[in-house]
Amino acid sequence: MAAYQHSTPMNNTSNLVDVLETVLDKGVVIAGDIKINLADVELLTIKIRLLVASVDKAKEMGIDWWEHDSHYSSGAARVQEENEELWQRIRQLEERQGTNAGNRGTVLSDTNAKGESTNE
Amino acid sequence: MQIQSDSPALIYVYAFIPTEEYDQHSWVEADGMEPPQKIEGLRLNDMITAVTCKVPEKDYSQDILQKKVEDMEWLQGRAFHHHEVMNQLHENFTVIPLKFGTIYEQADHLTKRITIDKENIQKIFAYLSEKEEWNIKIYVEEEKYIKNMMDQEKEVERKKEEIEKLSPGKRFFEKKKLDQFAEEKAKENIQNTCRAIHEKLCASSFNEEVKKNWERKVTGRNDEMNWNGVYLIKTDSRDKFLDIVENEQRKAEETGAGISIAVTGPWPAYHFSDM
Repeated sequence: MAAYQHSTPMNNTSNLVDVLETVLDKGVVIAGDIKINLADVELLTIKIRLLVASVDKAKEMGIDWWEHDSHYSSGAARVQEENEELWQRIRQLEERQGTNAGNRGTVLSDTNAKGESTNE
Repeated sequence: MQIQSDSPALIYVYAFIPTEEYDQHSWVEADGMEPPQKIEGLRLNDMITAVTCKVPEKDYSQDILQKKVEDMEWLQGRAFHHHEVMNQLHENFTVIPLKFGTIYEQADHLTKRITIDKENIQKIFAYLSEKEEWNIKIYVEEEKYIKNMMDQEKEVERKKEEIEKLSPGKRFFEKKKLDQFAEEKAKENIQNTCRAIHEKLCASSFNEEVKKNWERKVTGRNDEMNWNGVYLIKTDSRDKFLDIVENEQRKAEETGAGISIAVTGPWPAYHFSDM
């Protein structure tokens, strides 16, 4: 049998176009109590395709913070542990050299700022 | 009913199904548009049952909903949910799919609205019974197609030989003309090929509609859509219909002219349910 859209994952872009062009554009129109204006379906499809494509593309490029962020994944705990170990190591090295760890705050807040902006 | 008294609800309508079929099949509980609300059958009369779910008024009142449908992430999720519900219904029922975003404040309003169209809806149920929709899209890698055609068309071959004999200046313009000729000829051939496939599919279909071809920025593909057709077929002639498609797919692959045929289905009859 041929390929069915049922079994195709939602993030497959050609399937996405198929579903959107049909669901948002077709079907019987009966006047409901709530009236909405949907933008031109072609424009909507392009916008949504770009949205989905950007997620796929990001993964391809190795940008997958949501799979490691502690809000999104248990794998993040391991990363956090590693982070702690590394900071421990830096502190030891700095102490040995007689310097202090004054830069740590700046670096950390940079990291946080990046995390927050990606989260949005 | 799980709607709280302090959280007024609206009624989202997915589809109509025949009440007779609704009574015959057991109803599988499934999540509605906004879980934990479930999908419910709302018997409008002894012939028509609406498939509905409750949605909170705070998110689905007209002004708020208008803003939400402009949020692509929100819209994508709900549009897919709408479609998934339709697919599940289509497995067990004759379905008249409604357009995404059909919402009523009260069941009475829907019942009144349906009374006007009762006979029409009945006719559509009869028309759509035991039928399904398939979508066929034909894509062409135009450069590959033209190259393949140039290699095979005798007229092109003859013109190429004539051009070679010309002076360099003339050769440039004549070559340009030949490219233009090839492009036009390719377009004509592609249309003829698509139409021939369409005719074959029509012979096994109950009804058909030729749709607009989508641009590459919509499809996200590298090849160009040259045919976009939907076909309403009887469910029991599905194998016959798909045999024709597979045969054409095989032929397209064997000729190596950059043509590919994409088939999706079975869909509920979105394109053939107009009242």
